[in-house]
Amino acid sequence: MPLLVPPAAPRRGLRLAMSLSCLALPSVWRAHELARSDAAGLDTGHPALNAVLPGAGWPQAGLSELLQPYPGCGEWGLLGPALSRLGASNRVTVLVAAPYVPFGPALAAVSLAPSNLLRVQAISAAERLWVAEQALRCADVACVLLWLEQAQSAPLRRLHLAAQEHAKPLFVLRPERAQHESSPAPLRLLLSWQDPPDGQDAQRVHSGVVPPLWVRVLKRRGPPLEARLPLLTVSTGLQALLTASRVQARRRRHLAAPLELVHAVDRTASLV
Amino acid sequence: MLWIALQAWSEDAQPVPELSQALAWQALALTPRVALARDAALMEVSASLRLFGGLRGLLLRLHSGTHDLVQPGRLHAAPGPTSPVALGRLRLAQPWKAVVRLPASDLPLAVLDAAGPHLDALGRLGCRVWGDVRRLPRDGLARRLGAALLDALDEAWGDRAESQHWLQLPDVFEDRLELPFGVEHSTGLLFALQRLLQRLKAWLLARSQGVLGVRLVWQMDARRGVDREGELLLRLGEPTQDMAHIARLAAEHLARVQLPAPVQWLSLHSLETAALDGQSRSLLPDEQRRGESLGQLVERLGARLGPARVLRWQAQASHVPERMQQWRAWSARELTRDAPTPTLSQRQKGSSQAVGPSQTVKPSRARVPPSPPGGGQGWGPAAVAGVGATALNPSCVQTSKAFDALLPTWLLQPPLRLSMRADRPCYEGPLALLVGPQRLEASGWAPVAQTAAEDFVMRDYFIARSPQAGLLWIYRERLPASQAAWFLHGIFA
Repeated sequence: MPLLVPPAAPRRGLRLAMSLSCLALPSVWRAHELARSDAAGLDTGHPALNAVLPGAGWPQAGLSELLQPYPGCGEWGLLGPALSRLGASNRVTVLVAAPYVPFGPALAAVSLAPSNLLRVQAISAAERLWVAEQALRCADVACVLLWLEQAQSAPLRRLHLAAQEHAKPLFVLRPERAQHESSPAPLRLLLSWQDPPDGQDAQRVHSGVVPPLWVRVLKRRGPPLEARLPLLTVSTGLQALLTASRVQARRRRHLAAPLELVHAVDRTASLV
Repeated sequence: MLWIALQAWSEDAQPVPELSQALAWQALALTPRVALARDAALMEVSASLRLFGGLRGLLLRLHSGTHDLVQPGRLHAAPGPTSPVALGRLRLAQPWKAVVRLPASDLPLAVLDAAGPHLDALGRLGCRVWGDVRRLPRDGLARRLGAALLDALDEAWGDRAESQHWLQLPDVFEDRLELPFGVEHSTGLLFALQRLLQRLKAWLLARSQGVLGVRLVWQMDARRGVDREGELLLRLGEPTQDMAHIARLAAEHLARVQLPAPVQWLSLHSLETAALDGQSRSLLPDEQRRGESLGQLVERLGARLGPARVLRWQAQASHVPERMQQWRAWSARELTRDAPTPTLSQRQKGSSQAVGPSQTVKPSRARVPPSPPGGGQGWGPAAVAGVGATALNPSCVQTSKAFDALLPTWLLQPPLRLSMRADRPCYEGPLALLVGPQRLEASGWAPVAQTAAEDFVMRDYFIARSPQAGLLWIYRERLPASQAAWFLHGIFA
């Protein structure tokens, strides 16, 4: 590591400390700061998340892990802005072993062209890993999303190296219980819809109408981050709808029971 | 005139005449005048010397063109003023030594094809080299040994015009290879296939075409109750000269083939070829593409997993959520051409340019009940009914897009039936209904005879919130209260 020490310094220790703190050496990473990377990250589309990620975005090349309590927990809203930016060059996003069927019209509405999706139904874990690695090696692929139930560390490292070699982002979506296993991913996030029990109140943050996606950074190149980030990943149209229906629900408190709902609908219909 | 005789040698310095044809096909890239001799390929290059930078430049180009056919150092070429001389010099060549440029009169008789039947007689006459025969009286020689020998010598000296059968490329590639031993496992065929593929590439290069399909046939030992032949058809999405890709595809397919008997012969046929589009390459190293193309990826994934598991999205003309789209097998040929559009959308071409067919066609089959007032701004049947009025109005397209933004990003197929607890649907805990109902009725206008039971859809959709699983899209079948059932149909992820 090259260190620049001033040649004739009166108080050498102080000078050295100052120069270390002032110098912006790209190869020096101080543990209390976020790691800088030469290549800027891929903009996540969520400013609050950008602020806590090294490179101010998703890694452009390499493995990132998203841990979810349930399959299909907030991934499209979280990755959507970045994926739509990646898909702008008409390259393909590969979905390996997606848990449900991606719904094209809804994805198109958040400017994620569904015609640029390649969905591969791979069943066994070995197949999924193989497909992901083949997809990373393809020149026309922009990004790979891989759903894995169980994974060893070694094949994940292999995928990480393949993603780095071919300069593609790879997102691996794993169940929540994997957070206690070691992983070669430089970035690990835990997603959850559940409001945290501690002092952070969802009501206060987002007025309680639209549920935020709580993101906890389990691992990053930087100091650990305890706080959970509330991200508004729901589409704007749905936000407006939820807000509007909230106003109405205040007027009709008794709508909670589904049997009465039928009557409620009929009654509103008769109000025309 | 300048002739070059070409021959490939094996590891133990033996000529390999089987490769002569592939070499000749390669040579066609340099000159149109190529012929096949008994054990070598012959090319006449006097007209193309200047273009390729002299004899040295031409030979360099020949070496670089054949490097995957013949290993470096095993391709032997001998030039000569006439084809018998070039052939004779080639047959005298020694491994790892420069070709001896003997004049025609000093070449031994053993390397002349026409002298083969008369070698003993000529030997008794005291003739060792071509010049000895040439000095004999012509009429007596023609009477005793026939005119063919004299004609060959005249051609060698250039006194007589050579007559050659110029090689023309066959329209269909067909080549076969005898395996050195019976191969019992299908993966063992790959090595032999590599050699056939190299010849196929030479043929393709000479034709400037890419292959679209090949047929691999293997012939096995005769056994009772077993076919003597097996075959493998490989179809490719786009014309290619990339033999490594074909070999990988064949490996995926051959891994599943059981050979009932040892294989003795392997042959390869081209089924279909197409002109290869030239690729423009960038001068800058950054812009050069690394890795295979999407078509190759899809083919390889399909070869191992089955084509039905590699899917692409296609919009469909329906307004029932599960029929708005179709994930269909991604055949690589569609990469270049547009996917066939649904028939309903063709009727409304004017409007389908801005949005997908699923959005424009919705009104044509949707019957929307009168909208409940205040059912939510921009939500529900009111929005759909607006589209139904005039599909061509751009503002309605906007409305349709706004409607799509309210759909969930994950769809459950088939919908998951929810358990009930105290008259409330539950999914990871009791659900709170936030928005709804959005009423959906399908097939209202379709004739009854054509309406299948599953086409008849009457649902009330709600957006519900689960504390753990987030926002969900659930619906209730509009059935009598005793049969009422709730289903989870989508997840807002």
